[in-house]
Amino acid sequence: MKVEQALRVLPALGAMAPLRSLVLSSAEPSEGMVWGSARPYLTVGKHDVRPEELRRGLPPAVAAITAHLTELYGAFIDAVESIDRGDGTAAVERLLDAGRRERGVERLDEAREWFATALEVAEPLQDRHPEIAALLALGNLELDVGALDQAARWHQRALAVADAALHAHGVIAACEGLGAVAVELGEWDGARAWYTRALDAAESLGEPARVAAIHHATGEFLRRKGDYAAAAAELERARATFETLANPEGLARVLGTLGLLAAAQGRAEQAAAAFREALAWLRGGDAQPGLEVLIRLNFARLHAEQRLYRQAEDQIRRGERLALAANQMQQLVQLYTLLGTVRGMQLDEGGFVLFEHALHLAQLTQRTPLLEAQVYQAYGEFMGRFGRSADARTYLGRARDLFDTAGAHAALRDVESSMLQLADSP
Amino acid sequence: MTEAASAAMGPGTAETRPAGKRRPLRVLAVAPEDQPDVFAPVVEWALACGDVVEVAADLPRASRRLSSAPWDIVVIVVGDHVAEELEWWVDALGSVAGAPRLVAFSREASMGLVLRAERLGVLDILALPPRREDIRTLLERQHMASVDEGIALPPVDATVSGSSRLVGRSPAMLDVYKAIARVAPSSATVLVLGESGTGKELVARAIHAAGPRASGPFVAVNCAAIPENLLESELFGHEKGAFTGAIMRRTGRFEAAVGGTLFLDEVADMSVALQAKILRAVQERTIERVGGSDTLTVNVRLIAATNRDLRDAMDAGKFREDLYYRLSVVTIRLPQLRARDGDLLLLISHFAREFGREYGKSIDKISEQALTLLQSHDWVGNVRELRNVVERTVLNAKDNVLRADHMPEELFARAEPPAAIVDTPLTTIAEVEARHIARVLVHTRGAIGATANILGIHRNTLRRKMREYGL
Repeated sequence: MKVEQALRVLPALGAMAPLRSLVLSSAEPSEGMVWGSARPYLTVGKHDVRPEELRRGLPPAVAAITAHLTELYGAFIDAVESIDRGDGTAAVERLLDAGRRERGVERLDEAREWFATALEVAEPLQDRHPEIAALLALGNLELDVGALDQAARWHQRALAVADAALHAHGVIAACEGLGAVAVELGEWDGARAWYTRALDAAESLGEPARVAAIHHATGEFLRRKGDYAAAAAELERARATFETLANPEGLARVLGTLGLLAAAQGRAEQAAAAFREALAWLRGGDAQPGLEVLIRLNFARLHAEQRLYRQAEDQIRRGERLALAANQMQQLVQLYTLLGTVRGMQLDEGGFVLFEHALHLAQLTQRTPLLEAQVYQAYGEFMGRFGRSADARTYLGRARDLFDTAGAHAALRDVESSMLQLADSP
Repeated sequence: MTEAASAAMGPGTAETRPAGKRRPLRVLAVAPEDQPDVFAPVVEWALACGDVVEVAADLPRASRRLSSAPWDIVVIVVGDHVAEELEWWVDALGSVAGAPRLVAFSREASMGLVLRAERLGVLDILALPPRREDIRTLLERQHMASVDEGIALPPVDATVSGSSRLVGRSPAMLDVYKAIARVAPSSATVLVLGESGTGKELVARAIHAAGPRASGPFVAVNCAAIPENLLESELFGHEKGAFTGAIMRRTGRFEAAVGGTLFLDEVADMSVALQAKILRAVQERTIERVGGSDTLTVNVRLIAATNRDLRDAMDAGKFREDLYYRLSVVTIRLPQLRARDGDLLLLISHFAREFGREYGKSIDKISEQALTLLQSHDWVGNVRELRNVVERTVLNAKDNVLRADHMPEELFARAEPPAAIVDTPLTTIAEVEARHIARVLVHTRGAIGATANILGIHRNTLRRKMREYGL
């Protein structure tokens, strides 16, 4: 049985999410698929479900769920005990712990509830630090899911409270969050102002790792703005600091962004070298698997732009294996979307199935429609390659509406530009 | 440079002395953190052979060096996670220009390590501490491979390939050409059978191009690739709102193929319910869009293809017998690549020139070692697999010759065990078993089911033994 068939008999309930992940991660492509004509379009939906592997994976999966719930329940009990003895700060910390755990397993709605509860407990406290922590947790969650307006509101509140409480770390984190929101909204001046303020505060505290991270974030926003020289300067500062600190994850992130910068400047070899080194720094470390997938995704894009489609697909497939193993559904959507785009670049109309799979997976995640919008945008551009203007306009229009809803103005401008190019097509 | 000076070198470069006419091999060695000087003697021995060895202090520095200059060989020391490390390196080197080969040193050589490395196509596994004789043999072997002038690739002219892109002169392909010529002039339904990668779509296109509908559209549908819940609407179209996500009316592939040919690839992957609708379309030449009520006439020629045994599928109730008989009015069976005597070199030449044009390289020769490698390969994926291999080799080529060293690593996975191990008088039963399992895995390209069948054991038993032997 194929995964797509198996998932149709699995109710779309939140409680079944771990089982769904197990189905995806334990399935494998059939032997006939290795050299079959459908191989270029292969997605996890067409993998074979292996009941024996599911059964083997069931006890550890259930154990992981039990451990997760035990932690959550324990956090609640700890919070109650803390409140009982008048330690509101400790209670908030345990509630936030629970939220972070939920977020770590992509249970984003649940994480939001924990963070919101933590905020309720924190607000009446004299010590403002717990409230700041709760506000930042909510802000970062909304930023992650693409709810930009909400993210901005939480971070603004966090900044106000941190300012009043003279909480330097809170100020830094809130400014970073607001900077990130401004970048997604395409408000470059605002982003620059927020990151500058965060940097000043971090430098005053004398925290080199934090300073390096802000230089990185600044470099990334300058890259997206198109100010490549300034971006390079910021990124080199970040890189030098992370190298001094022997921080492999920080280095990998910066090198990933340096790779994107080099690619934007048409320096493909330098870009490849940066991505390659980024992957080397992640080798054998404890970095989040999502970071490696992200780097491979960008490496694949570089190869595709160089028309090295074979290498692009190699990186995508490698990323696919990592994303499935680590339950990174959002990145799986991005990988299939990119593979569909590569097929389009090869003028292979059969690539449409990859976008269909990507949309289906995007709708299963707890993300805002931002992810779905990105797929629709790429799907519309794919259709445009084949002169299917009506289809292209429909999909781009859908993307535009979703970006508009999410307030993602930078992305909105991008898709409107694509639609204008189609305007004169029949 | 004196021996003492060379041996005393930490991470750095040992440059060549003049070494005759041969180009010096460039070797990048990645020193482990706990043994930074482990490759110092290797530097010295390679220097004596006239080659370049550079030692990188760690993985990120090695990565930077890989990107900054061309390398022929990368040397590493594998640690505790052998399989993961080898796979990471093989994967990483695959994206490096020139595709340098991997040599792994190990502190604890084992059957599992050697077998795993063989499967991945690692150039060699050597024991620590490094031995001069091993290094000399390794470098000499690589030099011999690199100076092979190669034999000329045959021309592939239009009379061989025609307009259909089918390439082949073998008796088996001649039979296929005759079958195409016989069936093309009519509008009869054709069923094309053959293993994966044998060219079923190319045959379908050739039939279309040589037939009365050549001026009409050729529409191909891969039934295995399309999500099952979309296949019906893809084939027959749908009305707006027919299902969630049907945001506009869409015409299907049957309508798109009107006046021409509809090619249904992997037709056996279709559900039985959908097969009934295909049968109706074939018999009555009418369809209905999903969610629609109008009956539409579709005048298409149908060609179907599959790599499955449809009789087995019928026996299992997965393929309708009436549809089978409708589709197999005419059947064309394509040969496996290994049954196409004499076509291998022609196909290599064809793909080498095709990819040479695409990647801006002029490839007109193949080394003897490379040709031997290709001739001894199983080609489970037939021509598609060959095409893939040639593409990768052309990408990595440094001159006008296709060389073995630039081929994908899996081609080097040996089907036969090294004689030294088989002849070892102290071989245990476990070693014999492990070796045999590894051989079969190589033969089946890692296919668990096929391997279990050949060995006559259950899949679960096979997996357990693979874990036990570190395969």
